[in-house]
Amino acid sequence: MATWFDDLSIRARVSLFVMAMLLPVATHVFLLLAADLRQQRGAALDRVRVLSAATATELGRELEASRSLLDRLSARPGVRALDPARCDPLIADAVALDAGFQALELRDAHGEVVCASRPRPAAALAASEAIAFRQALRLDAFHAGGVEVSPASGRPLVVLSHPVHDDAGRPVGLLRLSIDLLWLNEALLGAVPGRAVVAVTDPSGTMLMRSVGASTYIGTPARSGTFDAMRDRRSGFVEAEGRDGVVRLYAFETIPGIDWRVFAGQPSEEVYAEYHRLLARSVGLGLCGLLLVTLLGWRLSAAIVRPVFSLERAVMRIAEGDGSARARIFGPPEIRSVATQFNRMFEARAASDARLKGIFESAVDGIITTDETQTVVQANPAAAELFGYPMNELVGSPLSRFLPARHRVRHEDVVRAFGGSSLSRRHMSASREVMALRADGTEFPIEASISHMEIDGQRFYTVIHRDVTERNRVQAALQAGKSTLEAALSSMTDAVLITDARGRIAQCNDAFARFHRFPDVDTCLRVLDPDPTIVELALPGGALAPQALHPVSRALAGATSSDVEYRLRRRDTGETWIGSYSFAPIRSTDGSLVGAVVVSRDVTVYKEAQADLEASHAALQRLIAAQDQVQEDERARIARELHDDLQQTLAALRIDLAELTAGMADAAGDHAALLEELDDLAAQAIVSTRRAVDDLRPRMLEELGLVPALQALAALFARRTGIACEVDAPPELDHALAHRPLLATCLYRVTQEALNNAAKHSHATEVSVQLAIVAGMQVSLAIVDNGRGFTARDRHKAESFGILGMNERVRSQGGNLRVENLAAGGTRLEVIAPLADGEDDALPAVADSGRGEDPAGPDSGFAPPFRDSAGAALDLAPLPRLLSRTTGHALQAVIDAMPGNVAILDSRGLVRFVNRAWHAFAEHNGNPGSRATGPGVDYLEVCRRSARDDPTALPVVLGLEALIASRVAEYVHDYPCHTPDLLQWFRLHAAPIANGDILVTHFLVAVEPGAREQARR
Amino acid sequence: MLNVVLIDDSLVVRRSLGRLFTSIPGVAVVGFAEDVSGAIRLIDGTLPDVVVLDVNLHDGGDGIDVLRHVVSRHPRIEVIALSNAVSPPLRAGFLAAGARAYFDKASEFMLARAWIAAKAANAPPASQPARPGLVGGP
Repeated sequence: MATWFDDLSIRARVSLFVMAMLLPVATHVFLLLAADLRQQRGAALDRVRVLSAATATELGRELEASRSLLDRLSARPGVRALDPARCDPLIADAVALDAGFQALELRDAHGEVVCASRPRPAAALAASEAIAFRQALRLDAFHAGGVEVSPASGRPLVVLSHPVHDDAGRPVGLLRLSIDLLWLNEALLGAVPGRAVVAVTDPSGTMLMRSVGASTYIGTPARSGTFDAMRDRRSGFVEAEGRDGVVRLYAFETIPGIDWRVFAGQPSEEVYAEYHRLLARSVGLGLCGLLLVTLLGWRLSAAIVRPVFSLERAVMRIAEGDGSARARIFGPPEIRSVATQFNRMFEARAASDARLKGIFESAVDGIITTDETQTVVQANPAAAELFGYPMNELVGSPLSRFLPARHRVRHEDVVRAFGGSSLSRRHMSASREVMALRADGTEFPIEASISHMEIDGQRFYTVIHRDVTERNRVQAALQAGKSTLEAALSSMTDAVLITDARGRIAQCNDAFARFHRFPDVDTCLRVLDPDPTIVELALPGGALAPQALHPVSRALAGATSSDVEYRLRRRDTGETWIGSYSFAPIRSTDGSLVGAVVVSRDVTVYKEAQADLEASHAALQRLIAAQDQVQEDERARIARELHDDLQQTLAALRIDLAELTAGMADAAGDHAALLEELDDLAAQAIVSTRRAVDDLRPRMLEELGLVPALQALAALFARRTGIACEVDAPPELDHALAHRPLLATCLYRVTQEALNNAAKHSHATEVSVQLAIVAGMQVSLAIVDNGRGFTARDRHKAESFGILGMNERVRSQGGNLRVENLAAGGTRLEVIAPLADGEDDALPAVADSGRGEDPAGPDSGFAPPFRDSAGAALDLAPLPRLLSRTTGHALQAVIDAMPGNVAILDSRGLVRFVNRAWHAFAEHNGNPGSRATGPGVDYLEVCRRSARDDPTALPVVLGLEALIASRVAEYVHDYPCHTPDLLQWFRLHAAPIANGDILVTHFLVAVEPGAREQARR
Repeated sequence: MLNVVLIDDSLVVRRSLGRLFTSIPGVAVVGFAEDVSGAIRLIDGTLPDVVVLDVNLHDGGDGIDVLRHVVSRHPRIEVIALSNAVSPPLRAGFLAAGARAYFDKASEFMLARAWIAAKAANAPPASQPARPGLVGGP
């Protein structure tokens, strides 16, 4: 609310404030001074009034004394009777007091002197006297007459008259008392101080007495002006200039009865001296105070107003464009603070302006400002470059110059319309792109946005241009790429998912939707994108896969893999299926991970078929096993029949024949030969039967175990065929097989069949049967002959069904059978089967997964070699398993592909193969010993030789010997192998593989700079 | 007179062996049995001098059970094994268990006869062949 107060300047307000503050003080001081002045003035007046009052009182008393004298005299009979005789003494007595200056006379009504105090000529009254006499007589009361001049002395005198009444009370005469005024003057006013003036006038204003210059002034009229001023007042004060030119203050008093007035005056200067001094001091004091206050107010207002004015000037200078102008910092702290802030604001604004200018100058986008007529008033270097004009040519050009001619008119209208709109900025066209014209006449697409502003009533347009040629090209390429990708994706039968770096779906194809059991991609995304958990992923074991094991998560963690199986389940519909996933991370050119691609395929049908196949195969295996059992039982039964019946009968026959022969010894010589022949036949029949029984029913296997049974079998075989046959088996094997009678039978039968084959086809002269426990978990059976080997054709011949049957028999026990031709000639048939029960799948599975976690753990055992685990990484542990299934020339290729320096020794410690790395290492290190360590060399001997020089090699010799003797399942040894350049530590790992061979691997486990390298540093 | 019992599950064998052994002077075949329990009863009842024992008896019985019974109860009675089962471990097992001899029924029955004959004549019995072949004859 604006009031008059708001319009007041600071200065006025300060003044008002000071005044308001001073008013009570000033009033108080003023009142004090006024009281003082009044008091001083009163004191001054009192001084003259005292003088006048004292004079008036004394004069009054004198006159009263005279009146009472006359009154007493007039009451005397002598006087009343106007008897001169009687009255003379009376009158003489009466004036005896001061005869010199007073004269008393009694005159009758005619003015004749009756008696007189002083003998003088009783002169008649002068004319003037006569008038006064009659006038006094008529008054009939005490009366003072005017100034008269004594005829005798010439001195002024005044006559007091009192009537005399006769007894009847008629006025008969007058008692007249003449008083010498000079004398009276002397008597009454003689003591008046020199500077003071006391005067007495009669009612007519004639001067009766005067303390100064009495003889001069008495009888003269008082100054009329002065007198007039106090005509009506009986007492009071008047100031008048005396005849001597001195201004005096007079107090006057009227004496009652005769109306004489007493004036007492003192020079005003004197009377008011104190008063005037005080007055002067007060005024001086007041003026000083006022001056002080005014000065203070001025200073105060100036302290505020001047900095403000300075600030205002600075603002005005800045407004006029002086960017360097700054407010001067002075005045009270508040104003200084304002000025500082003001300066800071302008510093900030200047910095901001500089920044803005920097942005403007260095902007990649072209920026052009035009005025209302669309003439360029400002442009940045980017704009100049964009349009191909030099800067000075650009400024001042019409905007239309940068537009293709066909757009110009419309553009101008559009811009003007925009200027009139309430929008403050917008894009130049709905598609954001417009065509622009370069100086060389080429058109190019730009993205332009325009804004307008009004400065001092003038409208300006700012247009920001960006050349989008390149962007359009990239976009087009991108679009084309995207279309290609989409086309490729949609044509793929595998579900493809591309995610961003956070795992959100970026792209997927129709197959992806179908894979997840959605009718189309849109439905799939609508459901799957907000809630990916609608499809549950389970590991093949059945446990739900944690998020970290989902294909997308694994790919985003950087893993690449293929053919990983998951069981999927739709939570909403309950559908389940099996997916085979391949996934990989997507990396940008700088290597950062920007997404993942996951390809999946529904393998449910395939898996079911596979499961069916496996199930039927398992059923087949069981069937074969059952068939085996039945066959074994039948064989046992037949064997028992043969043994219990036929053999007994044949034995009895022979006994009886012997008896018969004995009984007939002497008698028929002819029959003796026949009997002997009969006995031979019976003996042959017994032998045949026994062999049949043994073939049918290996009783020894049941009763004594596999090894004795095989030894018996070998002995029988050797005897029957003439082919040398040796059995080599560890003694603990029978114990290990004690709980696997079916496996023992299987191995026995395989040996039996293999020996049969060797006898029939091999033309061998030696057969060896080797049994071994591999890695404590498997039994290995090898039957090696030195025959002609078998040809590929042999496999398909009818006889090879024997091998097929053996194979099925072995597989029913969870093992594998392999037949190979040996390089040196002959055949090698090998069976490896787990010692654990073949029905128990859990154990190998656990061992398998454990291996994956700890590939190089020297303590970890070995998995059964025939369990096929996908993605066999070339770590150490699976190597023996891998190599157990690899033969001949393939073995060389496999070990060549292996890391580290690899050699394969045979059971005697002779090197069979070494890999390329082994050769390379030997070459590189210039060790002639190891260079020579090629195939055929006795590796143990090499080690023993080096142990003479290097004690660290001795444990290797012992370890390998232990391994060869099957006393340990694995041997690991770390050893240093330094070169001048490098300090290296290697690990030797040795483990048995199939055929009694040993895999020896050396690989680098640690390396440091060598002594030479360190010295160089 | 040397009393002999024959323990064999085959009737024809028992009959032939009975004839063979009876023909030995001073030998009397006093009984036959075809299974373990019958054999034990017979031996306990007749207390023979010699038991001729087959390895496999009737109904799956095992001759060695009879052998062990005799060795533990009648240590005086001598047992010889005569069997068609001729595997060396089996032979060794019987000899270890206390059998005096082990003969192949189909080829060494004459040796068994000779052993019993010697016994009957109080002569030292014929010695066991050191390494009997699987196929042999008299």
